[in-house]
Amino acid sequence: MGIFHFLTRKTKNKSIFCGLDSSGKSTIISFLREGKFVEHVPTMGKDMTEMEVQGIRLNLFDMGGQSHFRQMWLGELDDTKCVVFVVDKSDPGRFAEAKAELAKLLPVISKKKIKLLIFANKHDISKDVQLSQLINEFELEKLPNFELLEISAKTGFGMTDAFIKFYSILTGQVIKKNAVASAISIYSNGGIPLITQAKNDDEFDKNILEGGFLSAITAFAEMKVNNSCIKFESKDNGTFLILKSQNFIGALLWNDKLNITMDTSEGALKELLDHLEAIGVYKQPEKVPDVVEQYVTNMM
Amino acid sequence: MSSTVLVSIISGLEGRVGSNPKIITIYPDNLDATEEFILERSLPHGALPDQFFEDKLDSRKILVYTFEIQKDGRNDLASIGLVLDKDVIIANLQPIIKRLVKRLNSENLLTLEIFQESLPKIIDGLNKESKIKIGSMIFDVKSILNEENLELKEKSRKARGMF
Repeated sequence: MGIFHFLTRKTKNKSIFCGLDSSGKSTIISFLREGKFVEHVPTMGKDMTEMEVQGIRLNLFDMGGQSHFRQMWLGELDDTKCVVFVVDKSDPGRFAEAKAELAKLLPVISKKKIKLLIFANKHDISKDVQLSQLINEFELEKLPNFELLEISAKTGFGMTDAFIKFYSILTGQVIKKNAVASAISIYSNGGIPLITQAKNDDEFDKNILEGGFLSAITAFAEMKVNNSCIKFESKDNGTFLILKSQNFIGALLWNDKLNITMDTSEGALKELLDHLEAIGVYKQPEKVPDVVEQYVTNMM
Repeated sequence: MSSTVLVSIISGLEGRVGSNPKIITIYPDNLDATEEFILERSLPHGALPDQFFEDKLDSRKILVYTFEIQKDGRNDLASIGLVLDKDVIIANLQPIIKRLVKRLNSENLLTLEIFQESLPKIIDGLNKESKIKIGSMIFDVKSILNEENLELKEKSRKARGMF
């Protein structure tokens, strides 16, 4: 091992996120990093994010999607292990343009045996656009290898599954999704129930969470504390964690069977509430159930 | 007193679909460099909102401040680049620029159009250390410098000793 080993810093586990402008690349990366929706200005050229997951360092290069920057994409493929091509699923009018840009990358992707992952983003506003339509429009069936996943970096739909896929492609390691709750309920800050979701749609857990704790939630709603968690232990059902943010109250049913620490579940509940605050859904309470339903795909 | 800011450049990358980075305006327009070269320095790659960058342009120092402009859809990324006189204390100019942008934002005056129109007034105000009036907003450079106990330029050193 020579001195140059210490002087040269190689980029390991490098991935590049490409796709047209406004397809959501930066939002996806920040969601993966922070677990919530963050609005971004357009990426000026490129931006690099480093993440360490289970002891493995990942480098995510966010490539500007404006036509001015697209020529840079090819130049970044050299030491890249995985290309994540992001498509705005809600904008079929730009599918042809996106397809043409992807086509420019494909010869190098194929030659260098780089893995290709396609994220069909903005699923929250394009549920009627089927993956089969994308496969047809992009002629993906002609590609030897690719993975295509529907996600929404706004609501969080499918983000954990997308990350699991991305991580395994990039590192060759398997990462397991852990459920962080048996059931989750979201209330308005006045204690009005908005939605309850249970793991595997378990009615029993759902009823426990919805039924028994309404008075506690109502009492909690009157307390002027944000971001402080209260816990009720129930001998038969597990522990109920209740947390308040500015506009919502979240309740979660935790038990030993989840094989996850209570702190992790509390952190996940906090992230969900932060996410709901970040996307400003409190202004439209009727949209809360849909947003929670999509985000909870990551939690159970 | 010599000028603090010799040339200023406003650049932007709009949040709308199909946009590309561009120079919005240069004042006064007397830079001896290509547009591409100026753009690379006035809106550097990797720039995020609320960052300062320093570089060289036309053999002089350029200070760039990047900021976000609120839009109904996706926000714009914009920058103000200031080509400076060699005596300028950059660290003292930075808080003034940042406060000006913040103030324009709080007064709903932070748009590329207003910046473009008001650039001569801004540069004049910085150079004369006087009041900058944009719409109903008055930004008093001198009083901020006094308040923060800052000088924008190095004091010229007088020769001492016996000759």
